[in-house]
Amino acid sequence: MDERELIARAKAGERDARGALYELHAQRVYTVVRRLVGDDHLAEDLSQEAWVRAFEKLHLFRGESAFGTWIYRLATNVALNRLRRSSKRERVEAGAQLPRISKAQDEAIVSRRVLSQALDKLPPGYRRVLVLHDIEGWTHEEIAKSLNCSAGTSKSQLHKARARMRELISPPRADDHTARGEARV
Amino acid sequence: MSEHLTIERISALLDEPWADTVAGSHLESCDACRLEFERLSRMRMAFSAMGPLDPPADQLAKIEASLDEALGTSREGAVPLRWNGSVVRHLMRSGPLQAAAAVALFAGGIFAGLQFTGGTGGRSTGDATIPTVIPASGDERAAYNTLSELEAARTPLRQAGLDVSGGQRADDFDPYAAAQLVARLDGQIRAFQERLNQAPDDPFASGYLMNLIDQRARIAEAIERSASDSETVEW
Repeated sequence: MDERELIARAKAGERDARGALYELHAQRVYTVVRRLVGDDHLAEDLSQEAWVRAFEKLHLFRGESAFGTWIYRLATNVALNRLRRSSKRERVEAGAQLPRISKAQDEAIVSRRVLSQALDKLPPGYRRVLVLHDIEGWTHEEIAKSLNCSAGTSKSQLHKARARMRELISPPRADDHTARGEARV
Repeated sequence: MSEHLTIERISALLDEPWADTVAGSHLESCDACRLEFERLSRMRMAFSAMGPLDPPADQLAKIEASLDEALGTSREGAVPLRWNGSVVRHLMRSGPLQAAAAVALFAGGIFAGLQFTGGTGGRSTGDATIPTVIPASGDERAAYNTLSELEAARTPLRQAGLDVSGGQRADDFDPYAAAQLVARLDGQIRAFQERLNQAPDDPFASGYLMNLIDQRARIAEAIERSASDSETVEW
C-alpha cells in the first residue's frame, strides 16, 4: 500500500493506517525533536504532541508536499516553539563531564557518543541552529525564516555553536590553538 | 598576519571559503589554524554520520490514547493494531540498506541494466554495493576508487583486526590503520558534500555519499569501541 492510500485511510479514521504512517516517519520525527531540545523526556512529549496534532489536522494535509516532509516540519515547529517559550537557561561548563578521547582518536574521529553528549550541553539557541544546519541540512535562509531572524544571525550562531562544541568535545590544552590567544585579523 | 584565527572565523571558512580571503591565506601558512580547521571539518563530518534515534516503544499507544481523548472516543472495543511496524522501521533505520537503496534507486532510474551484487555484475564492500559502471567524473571516480580500495583492503584490515563490513574489532585492532582509512573517506565525503551543495538532486553523488558515510561510520564505531575498551585519556 502506498503512502497516499495510507493517508486517505488515516483521514477516514483508520487506526491501522495511522500506525503505518507513524512507523514510517516516527524515527525521523523523534530524532530531529530530540536533537533540538536536548532532553529525552521533553523530546518524547513534543514528538508525541506533533503526531497528535498531525493526525488531528490530517484533513488539512493536501499532499502538496510529501507526508514525511509535512510531519517533519510540523514536529520541528513544535520543538522550536517550545524552545522559544522556554525560559530555562542552561548553564554550560566547557568540557564538563564529557568522556575524553585520545588525541590520536581526535585526529581520526569524533565519536557519536561524545558528539551527542556535547550537543545536549549546548545552549538551546546554539543547539537549534547547529542541529538544523549541520545535521538536518537546512540553509541559513530557511533557518532565518523559521526562527524569525536574519541569515547573518543564523551564521553567527552556527559558528559560535561549533566553537562551543569544540570546547565541549576537546577542552584546549596549554599548548593548544585556542589557549595561545586568538587575534581579530 | 601572525596571530591565530578565532574558531568562529575558521568555522566560517568551512562553509564559505571564498568569503574571507585574508583568513584563507592565513590558513595556508599557519599549521595551528589549519589543524583547527581540520578538527572542525571532522566534527562537521561526524554530524553527517550521526544515526537516527528511536522513539519510545509505547509512543504510538500514547498518541492513540491522546487522539481518543481528544475525539471523545473510547478505547473500549478499539480495534487492535495489526500492521507489522517493526519490519518497516527496521528497513528505514538500517544505514547499509539506505545506502544500498540509494545506489539502487540511482541505478534503476538512471542507468538501466546496471547490475549489483546478487546479480552478475556488481561488487560489494560489506553491505554496501559498488556499481559495475565506472563513473566518468573526477569525484565519482575517486569515490569509486575509494570504495574499491575498501573492498581490496578488507583482507589486510581484517588481519589488522578490523572487519570493515561489520565494524567488528579484534584484539589486535590497529586504530591507526583504521584512522588512515577514515581520513581518506573524509576527503571523499567532503568532496561529495560540496558537490551536493551545487547539485542537491544528483542521485549518483547522494548514493555514493551515503555509501561513504556508512563505511566511515562502521570504521568509526570500531575505533570508538577500541577507545572505550582501552580507556585512553591523554590530552
